[in-house]
Amino acid sequence: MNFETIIGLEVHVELKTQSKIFSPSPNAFGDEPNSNVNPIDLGYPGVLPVLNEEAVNYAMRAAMALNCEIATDTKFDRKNYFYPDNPKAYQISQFDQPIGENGWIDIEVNGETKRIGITRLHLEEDAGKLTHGDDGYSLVDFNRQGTPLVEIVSEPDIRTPEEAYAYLEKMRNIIQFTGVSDVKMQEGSLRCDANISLRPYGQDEFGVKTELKNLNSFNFVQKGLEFEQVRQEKVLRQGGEILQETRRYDEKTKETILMRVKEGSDDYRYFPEPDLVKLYIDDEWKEKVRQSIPELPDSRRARYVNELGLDEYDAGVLTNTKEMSDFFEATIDQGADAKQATNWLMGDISAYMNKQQVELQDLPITPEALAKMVKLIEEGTLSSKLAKKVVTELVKNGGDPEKIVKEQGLVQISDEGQLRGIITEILDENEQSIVDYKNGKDRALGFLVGQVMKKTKGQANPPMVNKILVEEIEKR
Amino acid sequence: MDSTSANVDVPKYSEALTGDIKGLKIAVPKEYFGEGVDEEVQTSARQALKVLEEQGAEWDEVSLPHSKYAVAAYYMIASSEASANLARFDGVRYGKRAENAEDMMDMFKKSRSEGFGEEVKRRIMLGTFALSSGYYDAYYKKAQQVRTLIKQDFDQIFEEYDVVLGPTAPTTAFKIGDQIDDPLTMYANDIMTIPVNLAGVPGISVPCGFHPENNMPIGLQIIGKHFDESTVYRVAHAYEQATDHHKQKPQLGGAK
Repeated sequence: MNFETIIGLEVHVELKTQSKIFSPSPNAFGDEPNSNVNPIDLGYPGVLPVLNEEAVNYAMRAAMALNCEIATDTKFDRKNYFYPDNPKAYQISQFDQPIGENGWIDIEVNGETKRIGITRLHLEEDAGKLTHGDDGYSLVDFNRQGTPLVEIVSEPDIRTPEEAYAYLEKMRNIIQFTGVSDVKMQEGSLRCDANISLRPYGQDEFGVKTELKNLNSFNFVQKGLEFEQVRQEKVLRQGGEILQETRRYDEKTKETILMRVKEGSDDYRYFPEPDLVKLYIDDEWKEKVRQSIPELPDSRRARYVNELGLDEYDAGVLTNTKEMSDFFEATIDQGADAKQATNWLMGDISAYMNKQQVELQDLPITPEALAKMVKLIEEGTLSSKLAKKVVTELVKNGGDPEKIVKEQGLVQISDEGQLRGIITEILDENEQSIVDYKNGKDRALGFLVGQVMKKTKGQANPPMVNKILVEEIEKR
Repeated sequence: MDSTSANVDVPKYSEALTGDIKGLKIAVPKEYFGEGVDEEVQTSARQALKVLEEQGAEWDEVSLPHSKYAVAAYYMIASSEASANLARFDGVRYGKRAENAEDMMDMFKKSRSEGFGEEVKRRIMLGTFALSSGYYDAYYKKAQQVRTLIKQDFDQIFEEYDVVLGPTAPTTAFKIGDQIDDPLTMYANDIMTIPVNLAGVPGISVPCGFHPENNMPIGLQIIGKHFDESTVYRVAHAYEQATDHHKQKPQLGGAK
């Protein structure tokens, strides 16, 4: 008997509105604990929530970008649960009328495109953050309490841990482009739980699923699912039974570890939030939000291929993050050649980012500077080889490429007379190479080009050097 | 403003106190003068109606067919909401913290057991039950549907009438502590005021006499349209101009 793996993912995304979803407190990450809180966030008895319109706009934008249908009549509900991170002992969430339903995204795995359904996207408030100390105490930071959060639930359409990874990458990519969230897993603005079950091929009903938590990177999601897939298969093959469990992924042992067995389903005693009125979203409002959605990565990628002539791979890498894609667009807007800009961004600039572990927006290089540098190369003022020095300076210290070229003496020598003089000298000094070349040893020409470059500190225009060298050798 | 507040201008209510209620159309629900309502209470309210009639008001008998479900619906809704609202009083976040607890769970349990009174505990348990999975539709949701029907009863009447009038309660007040062990009787005493709260309309209670047996005061209830407090005040004021119940103090001390 062979088993089929069924995976469904629950993704939580924090929305980066200025203030919280139900209070005027600032919505910011990384501030002094419990500094961005007010009586509403702390659940003082008697205070009332006020819905932040921008949170609804952001949730709609995300839902639309994920191809969801947007509800016209929606509302908020109370989800009752007792936990120290939750000051009211209930969370304001959405139960039976989520803001978005029936969406999808297309993922690519092994060169094949697959559509993954999105069951629902709903809006809710985030809870506080617990820090467990070694001294037996746990601390609560309520800065996060009330941060607008969307929960995005996928259909059980995912069949492999690899597809799960691709789904998350795509999800992050799309949401990042909409601008509603930073989608940074390390800051908790994107979080993921995974449900996984196995069933014999051909069987319609799903097997018993386990839920994976504590998945702190996309990589761990994939690794955790891979482990769980193997574990469940082993249990089933031995005639065992999968229990409905919550398990966490341990990064050190690379295993999933039992947290608790679920007996029955949790009873959250949902009911409509009586402190808020129902929400009616008319067509005009929906249309306004739709207009605010910027061009999404799939569309940009297609445009880069079809209109700018980039290849699929390059277009994919450029649109992998919004920063990169925006930087690229700004560079070509300044008149730079698309292919050239791509090469520099994906080559030297990305290499530097990887090496230093920094993001593009952390670098001092600007699109204007990159465009100028590309133009200097096109004009023949700067050789591609010396441009590497310029780009290194740009990513480290920024500045004006023209100035850098002048100050560091990197201007390409393209003056034919000057080059011919230098080449004549080189040939005079290397008569043996001329003989070798004439005897068919092509390597000799390479050596002579190298000598010219050495003499000019790399400033000589390479195509011209080649051409003049051959001409001068012929003369001898 | 929070979203349960309506953005409606507030008029100067004192300007409504004209003393003139000529042509005022009063609806008198037959349910407010029926079974379970003390005869003397009914008589006092009917006399009040006569006073208003003499000042030029007109009245008809009407029906609030769903008002009999009001108490049941209210205790479902209010208890459910209270069960959620009071969950935060755990001795850590809010409320009294019990001493001498053995562990965390014990501390939560003792704090809530000691901190809440009988009636509050009753409502927390009732509400928690009503919201539980499998019971929500039959209790909380049904109660909210009933609430809508009660509101519609009033909406319909207010299409033709200016105010609804009747006794405030079916009996006079009972003595402090008298019915403390009989919560159903206590709840049922609110049958005439609860529909007003469920429908969200304004109401006022003014003294309209004293019970001949126990000398306890009897209240007259005047209910108006949404946001039409002005009319409610105008009628209450006109009634008090013509009577002096509000200037009298009850002779308490039990039945004669």
